[in-house]
Amino acid sequence: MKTRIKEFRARYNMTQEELAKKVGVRRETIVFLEKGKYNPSLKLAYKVARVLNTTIEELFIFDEE
Amino acid sequence: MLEKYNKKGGKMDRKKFTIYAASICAIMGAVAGYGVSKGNALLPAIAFVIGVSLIALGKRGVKEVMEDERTYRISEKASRRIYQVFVTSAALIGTTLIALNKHAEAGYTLAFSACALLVLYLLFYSYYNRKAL
Repeated sequence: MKTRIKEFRARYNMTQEELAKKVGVRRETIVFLEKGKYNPSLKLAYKVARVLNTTIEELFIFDEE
Repeated sequence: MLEKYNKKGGKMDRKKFTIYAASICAIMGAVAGYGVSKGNALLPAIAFVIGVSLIALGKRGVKEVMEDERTYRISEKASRRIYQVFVTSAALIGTTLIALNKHAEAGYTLAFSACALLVLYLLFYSYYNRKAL
């Protein structure tokens, strides 16, 4: 699954550490999310989307493969 | 005392906590070793209980997130793999030892350990199956 977290984070001048703190996860989790190497729970996806003022659909691009 | 220290704003970060936990483990090991050398079984037990309590208290005061859903998911996968590897190998090695009649006691221990683990797995599975995750 691809994500646009990095793009949205840059828009708000937010570091990975800051985003991690706001959504209550470790910085490593944000790193893996941005790389598309971790599929988050619905709860975490919602939290990240809310912090970045967007929707889950905008933030996560579901790849069928 | 630790909580008081934490409330005063002296919260630990992850690195400090690692050093703190490692120091406690080292002290626990030293006390346990001393207890064993002196033939005192109570001393290691007391050291273990105090050490684990101090680590748990210290963990509460860490300002950073120590565990999140990704670490839980990794733990779940690792636990499942350990379970599969241990049960399979213990059952295979255990039954082989029993069949060959060599170190049969060790074979029975391994086979019963595998059975006990299977029963525990079933119990926990049925418990978490009913509980909302």
